Amino acid sequence: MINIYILNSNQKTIKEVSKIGNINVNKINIDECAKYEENIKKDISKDNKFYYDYLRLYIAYKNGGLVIDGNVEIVSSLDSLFEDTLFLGYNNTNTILTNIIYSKNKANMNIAKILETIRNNKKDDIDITDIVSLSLNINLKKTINTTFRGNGITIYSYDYFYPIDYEKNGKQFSENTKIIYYANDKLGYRQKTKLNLFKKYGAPAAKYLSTMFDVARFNLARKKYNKQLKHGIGIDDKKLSKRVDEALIKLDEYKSKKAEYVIIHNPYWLGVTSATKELFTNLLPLEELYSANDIDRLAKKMLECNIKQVIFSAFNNGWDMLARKIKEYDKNIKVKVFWHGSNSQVIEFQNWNTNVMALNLQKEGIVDVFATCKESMLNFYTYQGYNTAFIKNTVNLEQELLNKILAEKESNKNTSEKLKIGMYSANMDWRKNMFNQLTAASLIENSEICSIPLNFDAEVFCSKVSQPIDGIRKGVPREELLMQMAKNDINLYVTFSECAPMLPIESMEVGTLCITGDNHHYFKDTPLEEYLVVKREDDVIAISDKVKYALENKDKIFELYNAWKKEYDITSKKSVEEFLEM
Amino acid sequence: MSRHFKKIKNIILHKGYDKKEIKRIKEDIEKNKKANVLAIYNPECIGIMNSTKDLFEHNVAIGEIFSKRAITEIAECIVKSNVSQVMFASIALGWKELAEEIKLRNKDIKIKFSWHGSHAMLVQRNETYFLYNILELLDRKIADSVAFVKESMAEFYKQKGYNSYFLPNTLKDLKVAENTVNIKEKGKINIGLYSAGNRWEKNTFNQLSAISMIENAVVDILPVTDLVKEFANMMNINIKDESLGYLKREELLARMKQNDVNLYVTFTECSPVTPLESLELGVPCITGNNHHYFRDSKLEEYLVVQAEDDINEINQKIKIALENKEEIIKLYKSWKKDYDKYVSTCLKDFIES
Repeated sequence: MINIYILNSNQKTIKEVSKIGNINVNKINIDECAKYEENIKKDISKDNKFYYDYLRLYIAYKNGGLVIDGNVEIVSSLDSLFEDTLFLGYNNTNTILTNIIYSKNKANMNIAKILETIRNNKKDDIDITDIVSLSLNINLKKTINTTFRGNGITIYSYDYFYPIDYEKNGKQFSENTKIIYYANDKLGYRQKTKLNLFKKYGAPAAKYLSTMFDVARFNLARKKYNKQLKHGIGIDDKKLSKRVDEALIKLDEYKSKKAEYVIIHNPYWLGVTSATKELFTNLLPLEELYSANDIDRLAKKMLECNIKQVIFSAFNNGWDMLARKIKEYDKNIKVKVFWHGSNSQVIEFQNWNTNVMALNLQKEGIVDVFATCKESMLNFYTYQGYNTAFIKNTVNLEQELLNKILAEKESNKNTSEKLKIGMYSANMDWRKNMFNQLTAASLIENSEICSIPLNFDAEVFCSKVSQPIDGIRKGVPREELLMQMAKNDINLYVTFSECAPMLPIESMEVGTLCITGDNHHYFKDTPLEEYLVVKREDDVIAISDKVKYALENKDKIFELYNAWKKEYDITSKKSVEEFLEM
Repeated sequence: MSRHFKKIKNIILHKGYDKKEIKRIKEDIEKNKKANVLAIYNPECIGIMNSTKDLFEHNVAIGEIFSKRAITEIAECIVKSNVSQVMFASIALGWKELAEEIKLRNKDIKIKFSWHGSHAMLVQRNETYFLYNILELLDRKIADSVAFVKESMAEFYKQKGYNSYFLPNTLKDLKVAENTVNIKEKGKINIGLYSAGNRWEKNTFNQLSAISMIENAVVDILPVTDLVKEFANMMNINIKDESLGYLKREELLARMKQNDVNLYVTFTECSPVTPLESLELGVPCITGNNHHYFRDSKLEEYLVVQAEDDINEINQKIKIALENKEEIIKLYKSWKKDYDKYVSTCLKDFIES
């Protein structure tokens, strides 16, 4: 016989609760509640933010059984849950609620600890999740809604008791949903629809219908976005023209410097921008161009500045028109493209669209050279009849910056027992191979992952495989990123497809090992390849073995790297010179 | 009528309970009474269906289950049929509840799952959702063990403390359609590229790029998407039949057999069946290095591309395979004998788990 204690609930809830077989329902009315409140008066003041948590827990402690505070609906049998000694539930990814508590017996020791922590708490900035975590020596904020079992308590994921998405963060009903807790907040249209679908058709059907709806919505949004991108619908004309004004001023600077060439790049494409900065001078930041007037102003200015070559680093909408205009004004000005993509990216609409744009320009004789930073693309473009070149990306940090990073690295040496593994730009983009890298890191004993930006899906996965992960939620400036990279014992960049990634070289330059996939030309046919390059990016064991191997051979690797880098930089410089001479 | 529309109609009109289909499932379960292992597969997942049928004698097709009533009835039927184990080939909507219902009714029936994905595929949230479901069932002791079709995944979850096994795919008898169209173009290098399309893991455009560098090549490609057509047009690649639509497995095999070489250089795999099908038909097949086949053998050197996004390497491997076709097929036949023995051992270990 299970004792159920119900507070602040309506008649419907009492009727619902009666569905649970073999129970004894105790509705705690105002008078009875007053008795409990009298008992806890000496422990906690009514102003304390944990007052109601304390009251519910106290009732569970005194009586044992199931305590429900608020209105609920029972969806399926709770029998399996009653086997637990004590349970609570997440109501969100990293917070729990005490509105539904079950304790098999009276005087549960874990509840006693939680009550004690509340009584002794002096801090304002903590919540009930912290209180339970502190009491039971677990970190419930790090388990990210993964059902926690251990230390004599079970904390169920939010779909068990609190599936309604009041927080609008994507919470779903599931096959696990046993109780639906109704807060007093009003429900929005989407939340109401989710609830009704679940109640009417059950979890699998509701999941199916909502997936279908999301797929349709996503496809429509993607089509709309691609259309907008192609035709410049909804763009900020003023912002783009302002950028053109700034470019014109920059061109004046280059005129006074008597610059022979300028290289145009989109400053918001961070990877392309940093690769361009490392190799070239005379950078000209520019976004997409939709205005004929802006294009004309730019082309005329280039003519006026006596620029001999215009290079486009990657390619953007409207840049084709600029290339045409330049050639129209002066066919002796060389127009070149430095392409940073690979044919793995043909499936990405904008990438393919701009790739075709640039290649067609060469077919038309507007573009003189189409260069690539992916070595294996060189033969392909040559075979296709394009005038092509291979430019070798590199990284050479300014000495002052490097000194600063290395000094910081020295003073912040990882003294903890944990091995720090860095993962950067890891997200749900397939190319980034996030899950294989997370799993590999989790096979390294006593390690923690530092990830920037910290991806939520990565956190959830790590909680499932008990792997510590931390990081910064949003992107950070390059300098800060380099600082973070430097602090780790090893960084991972085992992606599926690359051209000539900057990150591995940046990592090695700041003195941290970096493991990569075999999709670039670095270290080819050298011993470094064996130490740092994973051949099977899809194999978690191969990645983790490589991490261990690299850590064991750190000194040797850096000795080899320093020699390789000296040679490599010479060839990189030469590749740029040859490209400019073409 | 599209299958999605049918499903939505069934959910709305019949609350997901398809009377005819449930009757069919129950009859199929009845036919497999007292089986040691009853394998359940989703008929919509063709690859998984084929490999399950090849490995397990007793099997039943069950799609997604949307109604509680259907779950209860199927669970009851399975329990009554006195099977010792139920092996779910992957997982679909409603199967988690079905596993729970079976275990609730008879805790002695062993519940097992196989997983046919890779960690790389977890970027699709549905994949993550389903993998987490299986792990949860294992944690709750509802599922007794799990088999991964990808070797490194099996090893990973074993190291993480799960009762995890490796269950590689193999092929039994291949049925090739007779009297199919003759697609072989004389005097040309006939190359097959199947299950391609625009999905990232299929790596279609690096493979097409490699083909574009083979003199006198023609490609039989499926599916022929708009992007594939546009790319082929831009890069002067000859596609045999731009209007080629859906083909039955037998028909596909008949086309595959007529090529000089087939390509399956994808980014992520578990235990892909296409390379085995191709080689069984006597045609070399180039693959990526994301499976366990041919490891540390001469065949690996001939057929396995190390860097899947390297056009040159794929191109070189095509040329090598064309030059060494006979030796490759000879080596394959010998390798396959040993491989099948290995698969039997893996299957036995999983069944006994």
